Amino acid sequence: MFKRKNWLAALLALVMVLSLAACGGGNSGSGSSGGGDAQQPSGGDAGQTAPADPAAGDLTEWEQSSGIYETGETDEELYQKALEEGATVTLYSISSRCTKVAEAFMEKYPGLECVPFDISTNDLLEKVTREYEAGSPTADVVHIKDQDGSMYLEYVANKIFYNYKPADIFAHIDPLYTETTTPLYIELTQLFYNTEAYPDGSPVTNLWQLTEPQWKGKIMMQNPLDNLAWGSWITGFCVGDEPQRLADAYKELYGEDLVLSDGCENAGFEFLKRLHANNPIFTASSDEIAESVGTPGQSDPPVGFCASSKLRKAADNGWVFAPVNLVPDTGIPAVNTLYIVEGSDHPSAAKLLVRFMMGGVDGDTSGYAPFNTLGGWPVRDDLEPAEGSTPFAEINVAPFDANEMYYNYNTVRDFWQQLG
Amino acid sequence: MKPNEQNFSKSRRLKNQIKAVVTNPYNVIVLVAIILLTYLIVFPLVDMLATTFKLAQRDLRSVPGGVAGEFTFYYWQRLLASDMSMNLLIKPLMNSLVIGAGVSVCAITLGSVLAWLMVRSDLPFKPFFSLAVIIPYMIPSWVKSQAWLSMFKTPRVGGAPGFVASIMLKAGMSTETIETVLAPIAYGQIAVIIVLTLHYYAYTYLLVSAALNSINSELEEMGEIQGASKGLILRKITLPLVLPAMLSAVILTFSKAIGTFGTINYLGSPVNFRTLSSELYSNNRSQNTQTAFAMAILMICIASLSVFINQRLIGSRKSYATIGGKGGRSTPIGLAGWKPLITLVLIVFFIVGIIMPVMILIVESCMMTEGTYSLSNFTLYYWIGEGNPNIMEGVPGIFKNSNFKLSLWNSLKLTFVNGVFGTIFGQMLGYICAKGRGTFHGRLVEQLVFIPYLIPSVAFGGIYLSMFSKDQTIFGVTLIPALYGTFALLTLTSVVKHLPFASRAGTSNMMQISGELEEAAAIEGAGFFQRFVKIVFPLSKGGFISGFMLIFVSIMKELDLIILIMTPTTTTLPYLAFQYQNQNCPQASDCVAIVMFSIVFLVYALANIFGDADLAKSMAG
Amino acid sequence: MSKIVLTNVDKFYGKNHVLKNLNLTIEDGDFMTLLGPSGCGKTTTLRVVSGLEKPQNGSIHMDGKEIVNAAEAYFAPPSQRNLNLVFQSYALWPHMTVFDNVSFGLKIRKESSDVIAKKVASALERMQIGEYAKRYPTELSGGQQQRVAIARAIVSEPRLLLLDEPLSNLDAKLRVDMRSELKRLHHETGTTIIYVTHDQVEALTMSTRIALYRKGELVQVAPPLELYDNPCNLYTADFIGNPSINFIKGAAQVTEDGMTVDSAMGQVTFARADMTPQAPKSGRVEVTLGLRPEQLTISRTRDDEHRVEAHVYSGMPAGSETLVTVRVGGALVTVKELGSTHYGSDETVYLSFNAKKANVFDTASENLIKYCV
Repeated sequence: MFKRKNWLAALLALVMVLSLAACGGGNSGSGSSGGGDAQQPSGGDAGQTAPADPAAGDLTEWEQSSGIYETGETDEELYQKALEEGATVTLYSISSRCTKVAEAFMEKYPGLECVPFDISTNDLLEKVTREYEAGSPTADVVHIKDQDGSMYLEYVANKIFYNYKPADIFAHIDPLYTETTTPLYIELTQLFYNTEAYPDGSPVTNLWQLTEPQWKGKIMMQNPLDNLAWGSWITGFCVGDEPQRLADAYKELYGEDLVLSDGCENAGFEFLKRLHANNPIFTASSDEIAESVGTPGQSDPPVGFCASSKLRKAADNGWVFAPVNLVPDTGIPAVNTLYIVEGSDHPSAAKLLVRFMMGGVDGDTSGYAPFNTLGGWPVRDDLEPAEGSTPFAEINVAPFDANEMYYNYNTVRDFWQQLG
Repeated sequence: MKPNEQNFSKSRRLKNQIKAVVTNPYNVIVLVAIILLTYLIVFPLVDMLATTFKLAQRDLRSVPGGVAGEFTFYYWQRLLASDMSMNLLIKPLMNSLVIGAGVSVCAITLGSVLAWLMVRSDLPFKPFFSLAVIIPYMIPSWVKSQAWLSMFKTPRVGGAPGFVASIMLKAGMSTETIETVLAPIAYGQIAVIIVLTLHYYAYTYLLVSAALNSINSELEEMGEIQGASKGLILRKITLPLVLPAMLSAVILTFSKAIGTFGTINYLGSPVNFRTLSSELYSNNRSQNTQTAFAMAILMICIASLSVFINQRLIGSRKSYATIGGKGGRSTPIGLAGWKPLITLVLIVFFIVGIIMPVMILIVESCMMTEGTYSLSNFTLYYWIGEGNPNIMEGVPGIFKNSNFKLSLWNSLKLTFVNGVFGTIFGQMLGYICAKGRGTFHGRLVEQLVFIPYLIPSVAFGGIYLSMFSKDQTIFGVTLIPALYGTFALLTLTSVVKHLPFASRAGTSNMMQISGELEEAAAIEGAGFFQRFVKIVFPLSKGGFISGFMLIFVSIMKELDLIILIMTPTTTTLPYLAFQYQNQNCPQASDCVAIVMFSIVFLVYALANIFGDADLAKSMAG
Repeated sequence: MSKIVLTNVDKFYGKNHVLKNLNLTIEDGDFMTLLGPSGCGKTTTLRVVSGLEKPQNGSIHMDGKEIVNAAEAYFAPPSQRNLNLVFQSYALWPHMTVFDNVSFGLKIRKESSDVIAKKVASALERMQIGEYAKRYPTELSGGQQQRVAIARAIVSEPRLLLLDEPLSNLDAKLRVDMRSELKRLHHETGTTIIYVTHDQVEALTMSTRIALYRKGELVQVAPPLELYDNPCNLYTADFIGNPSINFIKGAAQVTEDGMTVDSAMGQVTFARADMTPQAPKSGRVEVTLGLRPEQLTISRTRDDEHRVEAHVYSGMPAGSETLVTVRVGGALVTVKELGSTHYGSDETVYLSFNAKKANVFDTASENLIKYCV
C-alpha cells in the first residue's frame, strides 16, 4: 500500500513536469506559427510580377519531383505514375458535383482512389491555407473560382497553388482564359425575371433601368459584403473598360451623358451608388433569389441577380423565370478553375484528375459531364454546352482582368460598405 | 522525527511543502487543469489578437509599402476610426446591443414565467409541458427562422407569400397595406428578437426552475402567514431568491444573442439589418479574417463586461442559492380561476412555438417540390428513394444513401465520445470550481473555462486547425503528434468549445455534494481517486447524465466549429444537412434535420426515464 | 488509546483568527469534551486534530509521535493518524447500504472479507443496528443513522474517536439515551474520545475532562465537577450550570487572614486558606459573589440573623424542584429548592448561603479569588 502511494506520487510529479513541458511546447508552437507567414515568399513583389515558368535550374524540390511544368504527358503515362505514387488523389471542390466526378474518375481509372470534399469557398481557402502552413497538405487538386484575382496573385504567385497547363487540352481554349488560370467552365451572374408575370419579355433591358424608382425595393441580390463572389461582382463594374461600357449604356438609354456624383470616380461607382440607393433586398442564399423571382402565381414579382447555374434547377422546382441579356452586361464571368496544391504527394494523379475534369482528349468527357449543365459554359472550343443553352458568344459579359480586379477589390468593397 | 523538537529545519519544511503539493492529487489536477486551459483557451485567444495586428498579404493592396506579416494598426484603425466605422462597427454594434438586450429581457421573462408555472403552480399536464419546454433548445434556430418566414413572409420579397400574407391577399388587401402591416413583424429587429427569444428562453427556464426547486416552499408560506399577498410574496420573497439564477441566465442569453448569426442572416438580410455578429461572419466569409477576429475580440470584450457587471450584481447574493437547499416540502400554488386560461395559452404557445416548426420540417421533407400543397406532391422519395436521376441529381433518399450512413455513424461517434469526455472534464473542472469557490485557483478556472463560450466557432476551429496540424514539440521531443485529420482533433476541439456548459453542469453538480461526505472517506483512508470513484462519482451520477445531455444536444447541432477540422471521411449530419441545402435539396436537408432532432430527443427521453437526468439541475449553481 | 498534545496551535481562515495559540493535552483514555458557544473554535480544533484542516502554527503529537509540525509544513494525512470522526451531519454515503458504509474503511485497508464481515457485524451489534445492515441511510430514522455513523467510526477500532456534536440532531429523549450509550462505549473500549458540544449538560454528564473555549482560546480545562465548583473566571462560571449562577456585586476588605465582603447578601467573611494564590493580599477590592442557585436556601421566616430579606419576583415549581427568582437589593437572584413549594408574588422571604461553598471573583480581572470547598 505504502509503496504504491510513493509510486503514485512519482507518477503525478512526472505528469506535472510533462504538463509544464506541454505548456512550453505551446509557446514554442506559437512562435513558429507566428513566423509562418514570414516563411512565405514575400507578398510585396508577388503582385507586381506574374510568375512565369522558371528555367529548370530554378525549380524547387517539389516542382522538380512533381514535374508540374511538364505538360506533355499522356493520360496513360500519368495513370501508371499515379498507381506508383500511392494511387489516391484528394479533391477539394466548391461544387457538390465533385462526388460524381470522383465516381466517374474511379470508374475510368480502376485502382485509383479519388476522395472528394465539397466545401464552401471560404472554408476551402481557410482549410487549404492552414494545412499548407502547417506543412500537412491534404488536398491534391482544388476546384474553386478565381473571381477577384486573388487565386492567381496570392496563391499561384506564392506557389501554394499551381496552374497545370496540359498542352493538348489548352490548345482548345481561348488564351484569354488560360493566361492566369487553368479554367474548367464559366458561370455568369445574370438578371432573372418572372416569365409568368412578364410574358412579353423582360421588363428591364438596360442595367441602368434598375436604378429607376419603379424598381426600388424590388431587386433581389446577395450582399456584396457577405462573400468574395459578390464582392468581386461589384468590383467588376468599376475596373477596366467596364465603366466606359456603363457610361455608353447610360447614354444609349437616356440620350444624355451620365453625371457622376461626389465620391464616384467612374460610371461603375455611380451605378453601384444608385443601385444601393434603390434598396435592393439581400438574401441569405442564391437559391432564395431564384425562388423569389421564379415562384409562379405572383402578381408583382421582383427581379433578381443570381448565378446562371440556377437555370438547371428551374425544372426541378417548377420555377418560371428566365435570364435577360442586359445592356451593357451583368458583370464579370465567374470562371471555375483548377489548381494543384504545392507539396502534393500525388502530382501525377492530380494531373490526371485535372485532365479528366477538363474533359480529356480521348473523347470520353465523363469527367466534365457533371459540370456541363444549363447555366454553365465550357471553355473548350471542342465541347458543346448543355442542350438549350444560349451560345456564350451571344451573351454580354464584362471583361475580366485579374490584376485590375485584385488591386481594386478593397477600394470597391469599402465604397459599398460606406454606402450603408 | 523526534518528538517535541522545538526549532525546525528549513530544508525539511521545503521538502514537506513540496511533498504536500505533489502528493495531493487535487493540487496536481488543478495545476494540470490550469496549464491545459491556458494552452487550449488562452493561447487561441492570444493568437486571434496577434492576427489582428498582422498585415495579411491580401491587404497589401490597401496598405502602400506594407510587408505581409508585419505589425499594423490597419485593421483596428479601419474598424474603429475610419469612414467605414459607422457602417462596419457602430451601427451593427448598436443593433447587436438592442438584440442582446431585447432577447435577454424577453427570454428572461418568458423563461422565468414558464419556470414558475412548472415548478410552483398547480398547472395540469406538467410532465408533458416540462418535456415540451426543452424542445426549442433542440431545434436548430434556422429551422425556427424558416418557420417564421413561412408564416409572415410578405409579397415584396417574391416567392410564395407567407401564411398570414396569403390570407390577407385572399381578403382582398393590397400588397402595399400588407407590406406596411407585416414587414415590421416579418423581418428585422422584432422578428429576430422574437425568434431568438423562442430559442434562448430555455436557458432561463433551466436555471430558474432549478433555483425555484431548491427554494423551500415554507419560505413562501411564511410570507403568506405574515399576511402578504401572492403578488407581494412573488416580488419580495421568490424573486430575490431566484435573482442570481436569472442574472446568470442573462449572461448566457446575452452572449449567445449577440453572437448568433443564422437567424440574423435569415430575418435581417431582407431589410439589411446587420449586427456585429453578421458583420463578423460576412468578413470571415470574404476572407477578411483579421477584421473578423477584431470584431470577435470586441464581442468577447462586450460579453466579458456583461459577465463582470453580472458578478458585481450577484455579489453576496450568490449564497441565496443554497437557502433552504435541504429541499423541504413544496406545495404548489393555486392558479385558481386563471388555470384554464393559462393552460390554454401554454398549449397554444407550444403548438405555435414548438410543434409547428417541427411539423413544418416534417411536412416539407415529404414534398416533391417545395411550396406546392397538393396530395400528389407528397412523397417519401427524400427518405427512402432509390436514386431517380431526375430528382436531386440522382442522389438516393437518405436511408438508402451511404453518405448518410457514414455521417450518421460519425455524428453518433462524435456526440457520444465528446459527450463522455466533455462531461468527465466538465465534472473535474466543476469539482475544482466547487471546491475552490472563493479561492484564486477556483476563480481562475471558472473564468478560463467561460472564454470558449465567447470565441466564435469558426475562429476557434481555424485556430485549432493551425495549432494541431503539426507536431507540438519542445526541445525536439514530440509531445503531441500532428492531430489534423484525426478523430482526436475533432474531439479535442468540440470538448474544449463545450467546456463552458460542461463545467457549469459539473459545478452545480459538485456543489450539491456535501464536503463532509468526502471528508468522511478521507478519514477512512480513501485516497483522492478512490474518493472520486467511490463517493463523488456515484453521488453525481444524475448530474453527470444531465451534463452529458447538454453537451450531446449542442454537439449534435454543431457545424461551424468542426467544418474546418473535418476531412471527407469524418463528415457529420449537420454537414450533410448543410451540403443538401447547398445543393438546393431542402427536403433532404430537412430529413437529416429531423433525424438529428429525433436522436437528440430520443436520447433525452431515455436519459429522462432511466437516468433521472434533468437539464434543469445541471444548469443550476 | 492515545495521548494527544497540541502545542501553540494557531489556525486562521483568511484574516479570521479561529484558534489562538492553543495548548491542550488530552490524556490517554480521556473523554475530553470541547465545550463552548458556537463559533468558538471547538469544531476547528477537532478538524485540526483529525487532519482535515492544517493549522498555520504549532505542532501536535500523538503518543509522542509528531503528526503535525506547522513550522516544517508537516501534516500527517488523516488516514495515518489512526482516528475516526463522527460528523454532526453523520455524512453517511447515501448511495451505500449500512453495511457498505461501515465496511468502507476496512475495504480501503484491504482487510479480508471475512474479517470485514466479522468486524462490521460486531460494530453494528454493539450499536444495536445489526438488522439494518442491508438498508440505505435514507431508510433509517435519525437515531438509527446516528448509530450507523458511530458504528462506521468504531469499526476500525481507532485509538482516537472524534465526535462533532453527534447528538444535536436528535430529539430530547434519544439524546439522553445516546448519552449513556456513548459513555458505555467509552467505558468498554477505553478509546480516547474528543467530543465537541455546546451543550453543557452533555459535557458535564459524559466527560472525564472538559475544555472550555472562548473565542478561539481555552479558558479552563478541568474535570466536570471542578469546572462546576471552581470556575476560573466569571465567563466559565456563567457558562457552566443550569440554571445559571447568580452574580452579586460587592466590595471586599482584604487582609492577611482573608477578606470581608459587603454586598446585598450581607457581610460575609472568607478565610485566607480558601482563597486562590492569585487573590490580592490586602486593600479594598471590587468583587463579585458567585452563588449557585442550589447553594442558596430560602425561608419564609428570618430564623437566622444572617438571612437577608428578599422579595419574590416569580416562583416556578417543577415537581422535583422549585426555581424562585427573588429581588435582593437591586439584583435578581435565582434560588433552587428541592421539592415543590408555592411562593406568591412579592412575598417577603429570607435568603442565606453557605460561605464555604460560595465563589468570589475579582470584578476587575474577572478571575476566581475564592474557592468553593
